[in-house]
Amino acid sequence: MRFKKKAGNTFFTVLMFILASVATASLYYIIVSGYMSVSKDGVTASQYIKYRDYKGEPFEDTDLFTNELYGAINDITTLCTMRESLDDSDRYNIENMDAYSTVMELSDRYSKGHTNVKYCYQLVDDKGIKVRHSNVGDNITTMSTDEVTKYFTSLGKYICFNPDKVQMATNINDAISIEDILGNFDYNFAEGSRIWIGVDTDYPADDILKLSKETYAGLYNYYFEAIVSFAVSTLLLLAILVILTINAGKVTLIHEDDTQEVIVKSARIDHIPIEILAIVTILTLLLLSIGSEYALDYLINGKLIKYNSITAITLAGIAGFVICAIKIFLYLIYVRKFKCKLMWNTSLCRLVLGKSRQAALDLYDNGSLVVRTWLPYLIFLALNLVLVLLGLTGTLIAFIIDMFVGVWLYNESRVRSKIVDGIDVIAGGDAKHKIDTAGMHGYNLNLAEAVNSIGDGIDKAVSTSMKDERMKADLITNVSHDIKTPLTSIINYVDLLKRANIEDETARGYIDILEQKSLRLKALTNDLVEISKISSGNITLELVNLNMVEMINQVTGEFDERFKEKSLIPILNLPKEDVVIHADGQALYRILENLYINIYKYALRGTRVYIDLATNENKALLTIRNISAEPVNLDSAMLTERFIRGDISRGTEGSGLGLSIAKSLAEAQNGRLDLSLDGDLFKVVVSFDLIV
Amino acid sequence: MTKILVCDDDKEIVDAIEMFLMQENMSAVKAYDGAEAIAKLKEDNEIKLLIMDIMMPGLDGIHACMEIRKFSSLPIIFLSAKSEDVDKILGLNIGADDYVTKPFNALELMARVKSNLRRYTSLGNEVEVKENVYVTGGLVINDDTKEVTVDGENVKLTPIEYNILLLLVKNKGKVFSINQIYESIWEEDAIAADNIVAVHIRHIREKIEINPKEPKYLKVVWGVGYKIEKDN
Repeated sequence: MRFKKKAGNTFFTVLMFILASVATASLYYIIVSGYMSVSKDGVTASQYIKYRDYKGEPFEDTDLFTNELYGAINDITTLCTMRESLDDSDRYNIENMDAYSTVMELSDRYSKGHTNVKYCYQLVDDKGIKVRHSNVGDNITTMSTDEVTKYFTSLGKYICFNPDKVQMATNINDAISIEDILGNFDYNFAEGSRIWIGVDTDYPADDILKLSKETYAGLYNYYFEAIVSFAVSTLLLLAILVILTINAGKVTLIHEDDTQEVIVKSARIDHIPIEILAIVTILTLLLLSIGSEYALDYLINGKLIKYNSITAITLAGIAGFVICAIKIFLYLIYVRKFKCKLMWNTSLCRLVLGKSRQAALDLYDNGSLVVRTWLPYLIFLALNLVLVLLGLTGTLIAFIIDMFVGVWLYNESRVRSKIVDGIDVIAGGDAKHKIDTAGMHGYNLNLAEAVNSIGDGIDKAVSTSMKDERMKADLITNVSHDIKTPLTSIINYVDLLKRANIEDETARGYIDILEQKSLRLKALTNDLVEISKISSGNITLELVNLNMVEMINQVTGEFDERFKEKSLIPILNLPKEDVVIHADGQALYRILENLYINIYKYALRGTRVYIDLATNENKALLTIRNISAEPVNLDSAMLTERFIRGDISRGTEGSGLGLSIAKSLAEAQNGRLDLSLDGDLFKVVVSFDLIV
Repeated sequence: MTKILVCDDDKEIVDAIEMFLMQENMSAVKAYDGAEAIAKLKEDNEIKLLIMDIMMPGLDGIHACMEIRKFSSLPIIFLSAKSEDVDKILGLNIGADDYVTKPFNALELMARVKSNLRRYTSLGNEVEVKENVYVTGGLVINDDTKEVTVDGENVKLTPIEYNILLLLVKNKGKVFSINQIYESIWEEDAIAADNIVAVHIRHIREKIEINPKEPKYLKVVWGVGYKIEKDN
């Protein structure tokens, strides 16, 4: 068996990462494209323009320009006015040292070649107009006021300010703000001074304005493309996400016979408990979001890489790649877990719950009596108490728990009654019946198992006893068979002896005795087999509906001669209607025959034999009464025991089993045979169920 | 003298039977196992009947009987200590004509030998089936002459006995209750004295059956009535 990962998966995964990086890069571009941050010589200009505010107007008309310019105006005015109040000697003057260094610094910053901002500060003193400060060049010193004005207005943007008259001329939009700034220096301007500030919009110098302008020019250049790219790659990303979700965990299984089958297989990492996975996921996501915020911040405000450079965008793309990889990795774990049904299976909670449930059940099933009954009960009480003390919510929870306990108690009772039913079935005779112990616990389980094993015991005992009975029956049959062969010879030769003409009276007498005894032996052997068959249930009875009235008439007829021989008078008292019972004709005849033979043998000569057949609600009762010739000195119950005869007298036939056989036969047909003795009165009652 | 083959592994029994046969003017040919019996039969074709034990070493009675039936249809009487109904049924189905259990009554055995011989020899003289002649097995009732013979031998029956027997033979297989027989014969309603019929039946049985306790013809269906079995 080999596994082969679906090739499609890898392709799609890589494609996804690429798309993710594209999307991230696009997103990054979109976020930062309206952002301007330039810095030069320690001066930073950062601005953000919203796309909707961007009209593509000239740089010089934007806030970006004017905001930068305000700074310049402020600086230049400070420079000019402060310089006025200082001279070289202040360089070493402690009090003015700070001012002096500021002036020097500003002068440097705004010197010609360093900046595109041109300024000129003119003073009118008693000697005439004098250009005091300027970074235009030497030629400006010879220019007149108007010429200066003319020069400055030729620059792209200009401000001409006359502090005395508070007059300003400018082609910058936001004149009011400029006035405000200049107004701050109101008292610093000397009398008759004038200041011109302008920006050479050819930007010959590499200053921050130029940088800003260049950056501005590049603003939102590919904004639309970025949006499209972002949208498309995101959509594709989502599509691939769906594909990956569907394909998650699918591998191709190659069987020995090279047939292939696609199944879902979980990776080893999918078995991580879901709690741990959740924690890891949360931490990862947190880290990633903080990280990316941080990174973005750093990029925009940092100095290492220009934020709007290709490098930065590429970095963003790479970050997107990595983040996507991590997220997809985690995501697919979840997906595979779900597909392979490992969500709950691998949970730690489940493990803990399972183990504690197992432990509790073990305790319940196998613990001592005290543990099993008191422990759960005490816990139950404690739980209720605590919950009730916790107020209404607690009481409600306690109530719900109590309901569950109630249900559980009912269940246990139900199981117990099931056990009792099982016991009834087994007691009723089906020793093979088993109580189903699935899902049983505690004492119920013990009980059910014990009952089942008792049932097993009974079943075994019954089958052993049945086997023994059968063996006994077979033994008797075999032995009697072996007895019959020599017995046959005895009877035959006694018969031959009788036919031989033996004159000796005594000898003839002996021969008679031999004949009697051998015939009795024959009867005994036959009866022995008979009774063993009946008592071991080996006899086949064909139960049919027969008429007792007819039966009795037939049997009485059979014995007519024999009774006459002993002058016995049968008195029959039979109903006119048929008395139908369910019995085997042959067996019933045997019973009656035995009874009649008994009467023939043991009744007193010349007496009456009363034969009564009666019916009550559901039984047919045959009562036969006769007077015994000899006193019967035995209990009536013992008469039906095997081998007992009323009188141990010689010369009588019979084996002594007759009544016993009759009783067994009756019982085998669901009837009864009862004997009773009253002095010399011998009474037999045979009863059978009446068939209506 | 009629030759009867007696086969049993117990020598004493064979000798005793020989004695009984001699007293009936018949002679015995002796064998002590199935194979010997078959051999003797094949040698001597004057043997008219075979008395055979079942439980013998070597070839037992049942298999011997099956073999014999392949070449002879002489009457076979099984003589066996196996007295269960299943054993009797098996024996008779195999092809035996009669079954006597040990220990046996010598008189009964002899009576059966004679009866089976008569039946066998009288096969040649088929009884003419006329209108008023009723036959079942060896029992023949001629209503014209009012004669009853069993295996050729005449039996004397009283008129009532004759009528009862005739009624049952005319309706072979049908069970008649005592009341039905009474009403048919006496043509009165059956009241008291129900024994009469049963007593008569018993007398009939004693006259026509070899062993009244195991009747061949007039059978008792206990609790229902009496019948004469249909021929099979």
